[in-house]
Amino acid sequence: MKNLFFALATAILLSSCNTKDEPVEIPVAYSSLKLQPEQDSLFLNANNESRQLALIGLIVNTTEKTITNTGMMTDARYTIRTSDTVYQSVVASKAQWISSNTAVATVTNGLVVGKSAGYAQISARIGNASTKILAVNVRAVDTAPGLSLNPPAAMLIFENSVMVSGIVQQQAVLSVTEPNSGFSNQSVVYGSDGSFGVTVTGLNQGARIITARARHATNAALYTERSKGVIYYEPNTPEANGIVGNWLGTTLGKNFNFSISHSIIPTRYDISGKMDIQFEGVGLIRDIDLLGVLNNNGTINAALSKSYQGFTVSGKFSGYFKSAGTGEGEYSAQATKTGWPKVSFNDKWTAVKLP
Amino acid sequence: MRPSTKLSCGVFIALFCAMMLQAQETETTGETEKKKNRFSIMLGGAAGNFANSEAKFNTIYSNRTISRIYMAGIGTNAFYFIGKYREFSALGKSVVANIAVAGKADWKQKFYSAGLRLHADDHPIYAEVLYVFTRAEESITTKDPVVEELTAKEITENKGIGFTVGIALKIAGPIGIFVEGEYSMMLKKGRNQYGRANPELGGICASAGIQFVL
Repeated sequence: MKNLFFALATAILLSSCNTKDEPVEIPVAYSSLKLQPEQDSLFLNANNESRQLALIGLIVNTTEKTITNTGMMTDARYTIRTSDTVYQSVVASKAQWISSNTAVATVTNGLVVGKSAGYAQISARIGNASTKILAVNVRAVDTAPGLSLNPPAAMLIFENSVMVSGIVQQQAVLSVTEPNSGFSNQSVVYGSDGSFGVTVTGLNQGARIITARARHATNAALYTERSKGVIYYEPNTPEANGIVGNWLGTTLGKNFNFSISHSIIPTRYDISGKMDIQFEGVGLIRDIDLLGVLNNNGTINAALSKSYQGFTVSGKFSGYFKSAGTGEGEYSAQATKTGWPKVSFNDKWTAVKLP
Repeated sequence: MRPSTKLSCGVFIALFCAMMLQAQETETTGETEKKKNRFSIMLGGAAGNFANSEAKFNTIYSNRTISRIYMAGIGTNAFYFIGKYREFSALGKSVVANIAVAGKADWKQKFYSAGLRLHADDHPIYAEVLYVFTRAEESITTKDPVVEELTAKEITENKGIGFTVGIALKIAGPIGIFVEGEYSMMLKKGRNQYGRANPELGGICASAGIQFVL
């Protein structure tokens, strides 16, 4: 009986020791996720070729501040809510990895493995946040290698060279050709992740097509071709000056205006305009200055700036023109003020030239 | 009621009673027999400086305007039933916390008073006991750093009593000038929507003006 009592007491003591609280992990709320490297497509061979993907998550830090205003007998209280965003790396095992076709490609903690020829979509999810779809093109070993070119598919440039970049399947033989420039069947080296970038030089004025070809390593008859269009005009020619004038831009729900004019440097064009941005927690800031230049490679390099009521607005406006009448791109801006959390905003834009 | 206020009230009431007795004596003398039972109408206007009783008021409202005072009375040469209207306004800075902006404060107050004035006809000093009704309106503004102003308003009404002591001098015929000081205090303060006690709406008003006794 005494032994039984002793055993019972020991059991109770041990069970009480086991009730010690385990550390509780507080889940991080991601508003969106991104795969790394950030690319739209991936080419794999069907012979279990694999690629490890990493994951980063966007966290929105929201802060609230209560403002009080006190008079002789009146009290007013207001709550200001501001948000800031930051990306941080995510442990791959924390996410749910999804393959739309596991017979073609599997994915485990970010490791994508090609199983059989076909097409599969890979994505990752944590809670309500998910990545963009990664298109995985798994090819049989003896088929034409995969190849994709980065956008834009067509753009207006003001110099006789252009960068062509993209993703190619490993072990392919890559070459680029522009028939009128003497840039013919130039061999291109790509990185371990299949990414490449090559500058095509010696372009003639007018509309040009640049073609990239990925050829099978051992069978030259198996190849894939992708093309990029460029319209090249020397600055200050009548054709190039077609871009000069007033433009109407469109963003998410708000229009804006800008103009393109001749720079004091004869071979350059300036871009200037104004736009309104709605910052969450801060409000609508109107007439933010947009000022910059149009690079000869066709890209826009412009800044957004404004000082208003103690806030400093700064940002970047970028993009390109697909022709002398249409353009598109994106912009990002932040509003900062001493004592206030930084507030950011970003969006895409499109524009057409006004008659 | 604070001891100093009690003392002030006591002194004033004693002074008021003494003046009443003096007035009654004056009325019974043969010299002023002709003035006895003579009814007069009194009209006047004044400008004054009102100081709220609470020190905090002056820290918020640094920019006080001159009060305008209108009064009318009817009575004998010794006693008048009197009514007064006074406007007071002030601008200042409300206290804003947690953000680096200055608050604006706007104060508007009206006093409606009615009571008894004791003023022997041949005596320059007079005294009044008044019932005071006041209505105060305060607006405070928080200037949003970007686009808008946020304004909150509070209106309070209160009632109390007031005591006035003044000196009136005849200049010519019915025209006279006067200088007076009025102390008013409210009976109950109340609280605002957040439970904070309302301020004392009374205070001291020193004023000078002109009056007509017809």
